[in-house]
Amino acid sequence: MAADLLVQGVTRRFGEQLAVDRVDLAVGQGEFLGLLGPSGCGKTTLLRMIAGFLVPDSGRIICAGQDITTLPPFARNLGVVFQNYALFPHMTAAENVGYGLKVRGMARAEIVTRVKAALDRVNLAHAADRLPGQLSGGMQQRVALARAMVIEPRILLLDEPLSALDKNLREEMQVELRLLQQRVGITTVFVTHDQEEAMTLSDRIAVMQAGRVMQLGTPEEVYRRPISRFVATFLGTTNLLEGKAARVAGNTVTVALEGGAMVEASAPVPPTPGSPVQLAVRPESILLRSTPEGVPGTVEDVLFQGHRLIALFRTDSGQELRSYMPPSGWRPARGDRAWASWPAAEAGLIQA
Amino acid sequence: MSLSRTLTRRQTLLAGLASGVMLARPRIASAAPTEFVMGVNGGAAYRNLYNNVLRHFEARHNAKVVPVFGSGSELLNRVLAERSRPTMDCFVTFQGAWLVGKAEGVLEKVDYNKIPHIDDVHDFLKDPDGYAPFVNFGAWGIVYNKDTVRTPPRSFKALWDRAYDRKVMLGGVYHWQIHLAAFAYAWTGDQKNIDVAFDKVKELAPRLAGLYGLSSDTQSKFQQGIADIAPWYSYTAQRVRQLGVPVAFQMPEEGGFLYPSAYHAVKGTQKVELVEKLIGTFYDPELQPGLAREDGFIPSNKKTVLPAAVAAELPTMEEVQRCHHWDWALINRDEGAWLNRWNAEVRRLVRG
Amino acid sequence: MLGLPTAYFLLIVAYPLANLVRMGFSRPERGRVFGEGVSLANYVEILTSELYLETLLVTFRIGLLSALCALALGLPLALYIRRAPPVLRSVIVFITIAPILISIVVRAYGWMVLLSNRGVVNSALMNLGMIDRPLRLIFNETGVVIGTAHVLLPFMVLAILGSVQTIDRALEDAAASLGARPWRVVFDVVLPLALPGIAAGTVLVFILAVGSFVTPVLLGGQLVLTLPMAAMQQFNSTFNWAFGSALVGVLLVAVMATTLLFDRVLKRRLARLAAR
Repeated sequence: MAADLLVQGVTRRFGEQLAVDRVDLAVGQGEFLGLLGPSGCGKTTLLRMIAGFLVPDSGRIICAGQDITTLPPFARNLGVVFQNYALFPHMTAAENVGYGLKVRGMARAEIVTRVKAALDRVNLAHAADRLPGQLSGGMQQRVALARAMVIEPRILLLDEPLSALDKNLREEMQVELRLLQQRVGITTVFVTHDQEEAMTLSDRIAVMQAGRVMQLGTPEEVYRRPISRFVATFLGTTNLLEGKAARVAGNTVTVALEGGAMVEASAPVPPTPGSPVQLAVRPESILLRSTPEGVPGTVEDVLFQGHRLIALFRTDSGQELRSYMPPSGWRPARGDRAWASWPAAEAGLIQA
Repeated sequence: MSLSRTLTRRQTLLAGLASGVMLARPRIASAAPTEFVMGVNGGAAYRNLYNNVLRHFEARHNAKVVPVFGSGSELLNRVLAERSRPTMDCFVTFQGAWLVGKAEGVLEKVDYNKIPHIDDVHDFLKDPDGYAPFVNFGAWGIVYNKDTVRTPPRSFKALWDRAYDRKVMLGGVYHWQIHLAAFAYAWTGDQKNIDVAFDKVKELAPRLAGLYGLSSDTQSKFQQGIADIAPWYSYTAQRVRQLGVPVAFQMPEEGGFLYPSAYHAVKGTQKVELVEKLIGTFYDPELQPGLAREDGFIPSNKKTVLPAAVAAELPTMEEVQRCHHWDWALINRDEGAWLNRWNAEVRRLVRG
Repeated sequence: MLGLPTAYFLLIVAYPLANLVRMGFSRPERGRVFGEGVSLANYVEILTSELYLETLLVTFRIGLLSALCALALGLPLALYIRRAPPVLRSVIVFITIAPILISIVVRAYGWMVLLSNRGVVNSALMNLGMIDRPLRLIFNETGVVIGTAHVLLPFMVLAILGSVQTIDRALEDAAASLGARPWRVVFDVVLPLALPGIAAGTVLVFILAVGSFVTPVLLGGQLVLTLPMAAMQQFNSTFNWAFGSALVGVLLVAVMATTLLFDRVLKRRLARLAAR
């Protein structure tokens, strides 16, 4: 996959505060990259630097082989969708969509044709003559998307584009957005603080904290095999088990958990043998069985949630674990003796 | 009497003191100065007035002056507007406004027998109808800049000399009517020949340096060299000279015009006696030299003796006796029509 | 509850106005500032007099030119203030508004020093050899417009600022990302959205300029006659309150009519803009 967008060592300060700290990213042609992190992690600042609204203090941004680090935004040919859509309130939906073409000096008739096609693509042909104030949130969102894409930008930048929508509409738009992006095949960088949304949409996710990219990988990688405590906890409920790296063979590490159980895990950067590590295992990956396989312990409580059970489990070494189990199959009961296990590929190895 | 037994000596003493204070209060109140609300001209004129007259008036008659600032016209308008509920006891007027006030019935007569020094005052300052006599006066003649005008115009008619082209200013918005009456007299010997005055002013207008407004405006135009000669008042010239502007007063050969001012009791005031006392304070031969030195007022008390240096700055009594009075009945009757003519015919001929 | 605001309005606004109207419809009696009877004579005299019609025209011309000058100066200033960093912004806003604290009389004399024939501007131009004879910048309508626009500039800036500050910065970013250069962003996005503030500032400055008195008197050098001055002459010089009130009445009606007309035209414009 050829890199369409390269971010190299980009740093930006606001006064004393370091907003973005030596970030490197490579976004491939047609890739959908999610920038995920809590508010203040620097994801929006990074996006604004890519868009050209901010200039980095150091580092370079390269788009399709061209260094655009200091290029003004109007010369970048990037499509941007803003958090509150930023539709021009004094222009109709069609005029909003056509604005980028008008600025480029395109012939009127050509503009009309393209605007119509763009609005058709987002199913808004009927609302062409309405002002933004007369459109629902979802419709405004689609106008903003059409406006950003009609100029055939090199890259599409989305700044929390769905956060202003209610939950149902948001899920619907997530699917719509993903399908549209796939159909057009446009390289897309997408900022969000919602980990589910990031996982639903992205080909890869860059999880950010305090201006740094903590982990970059496919949704499955970052979710199942987080390499830091931050990523593990930010992406959802997780179990953290203390242990020591007992043996290291290539990327495969054998971990000695507290209490003596030995489990395997893989790590992109292997730890030195003997160093303390943590294992992050998602509750849905933990299987409780009545047969002595894995880590022994006692079931403390079982909660029924309809589509699943939540089992609270304490290992003999005193660590608390949480397991999501299907309601069918073996059902543990409070006080039962049980053994917890998980597939090696579903444990993230966190080095101190 | 169980009660009296419970009272200590100290309590008795305190109670006695308190009742003593209560008894004394009416006497304290009667000793407080009487508030006397006066409509006066503000700025330097008021400062001089207070130092030379009002300060002594307050001390001698146990009064406290509360000044209300405004021009003579503004003050008269206020008195007219408040005629049902006057807020001022006394206000300054010039001759023209005084006639309007008399006709409108908003002035209170004063008792000449109660005015100190009244027998020593020039007769022309007394009002035949029994309203307040004028307290001070100056002459209206020719004021010029000593530094830039070597030979000043010796008569009103001389203002028309080509030698004074673009040096002369006349009064605009506020003083046009007295110019017309004075020039009618200067050219024909009769103030009623106003058509001649208009013709002569129109002849002069294109050669004027401009028009002046309030005293501050006139002063500023002398200072900035916008004009060097103006028909103006001897006493404002004196006041401006005190501020360092090099102006001198020339009594015209045709005779100047006397311009007196009076402090009138407002109809409905309970303090006519204080007005009479105030007028008497102005006439005090001890205080008149101060008024003459700082304000340029010619002594209204025939017995006043001025220091030679002060007298030298003022018009002589001989010059004063050759001065004229404006025909205010004529001016008040016709000035509405004159104003329209002035605005329509004269104003547009003047080049600033 | 309804009564109190109504009473307040009647006392503060309606009563003085009613008095003025009543006086304007009376004819002065001999020796009185206004009379008892009801007559149209004052208005007939004003509306048939070339002098007063011309004065009305001059007053409106000064008002309009002052508003346009203040707009030409105030709009770029407001746009600049909006873009300035916060600390600098407060400083510039303060400097812009500070002249309000200085007496307009003092400012008028300041302009005299600058603009008179021997003033700073003319001396400089003549020393540079750019002109042979001094430009007439003062004691005429030019001087009045310059002085009035300067006095009223803060009102224009504040009115426009009030409306440009509500414009979402993201709108400008959006326009820029769509390819619009900075000046194009201003014309396509900022100005249309600032229109209510621009209109409010223009109307405000026009009304204040038309009603102003001190600056036209001082910088007009008694040579420029405006309706407020003409009315003042009637009150303070000839003590003809009846005629003075009628002049004020004519000014009031003319200003109200102009403002309403402007408002209607503008509303229609905005409606068409919205409907486009």
